[in-house]
Amino acid sequence: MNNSAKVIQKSLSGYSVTLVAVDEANQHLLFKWRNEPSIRQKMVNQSEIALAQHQQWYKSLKNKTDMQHFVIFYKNIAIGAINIKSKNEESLLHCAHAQVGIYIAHEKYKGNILAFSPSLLINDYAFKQLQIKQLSSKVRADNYVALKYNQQLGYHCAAEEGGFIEISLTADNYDRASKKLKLFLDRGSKIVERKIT
Amino acid sequence: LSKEKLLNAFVTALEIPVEDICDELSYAQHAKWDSIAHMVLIAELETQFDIMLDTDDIIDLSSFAKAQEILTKYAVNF
Repeated sequence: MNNSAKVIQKSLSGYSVTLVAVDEANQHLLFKWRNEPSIRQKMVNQSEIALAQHQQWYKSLKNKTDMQHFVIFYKNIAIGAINIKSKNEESLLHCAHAQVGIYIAHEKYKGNILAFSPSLLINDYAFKQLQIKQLSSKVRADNYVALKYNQQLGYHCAAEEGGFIEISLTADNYDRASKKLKLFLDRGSKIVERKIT
Repeated sequence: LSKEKLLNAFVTALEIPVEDICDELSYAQHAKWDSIAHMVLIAELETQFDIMLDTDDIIDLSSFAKAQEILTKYAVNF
């Protein structure tokens, strides 16, 4: 695999949002959000995280090349978090298979079409820049909102196993499924009037 | 006329009876108004009113009342 064009990005912008790598200034948001019951209950590990655990996790991130965690900003407001992790703990620059995790913490944007923007951005990054071949995740079988959300991004669902459903996405399926979403979320903010009646 | 066009757009896009439409009708809180219906609704509004909404307005268009407010920015009078 040719890795010469691959670069780990510290921030990504597009589809009206910016993803900023977790840093000293914003890491406290993840601690706060991760422990909110509405977010925790959707996770594979639903237990509450202690501050010391969080700090240890944040410290360990600095040396890791197999994962990136970002805070999602919309109009300079932090609205949630998204991450990408390689399977098998390989560097993101060398892996072919990774998983993406996302949550929207800001009440106003939960269930909003804006929730697709960070996923579009990180999927573009994964497939185009990092040249990852497949994304997959485990979703709670009763988390219908997440399953529907991921299906709209082109994810295919496997059979339920132990209360979870494995979902997977290839670049081709993603490109096909995301065309329409991208048309709506990649227009910019200039009002264009075709006709005034 | 604009109000009627707006109601028609919601009825067509969300596939709901006109009686279900009120100012409080909001995105993700009505079973029929999910992200797919939202995109159909945006396309319907753009066709009905011959406008092109910008991305921030597509994101902000989260209720029937908000739709009216946003459309006034595009020179639609109610």
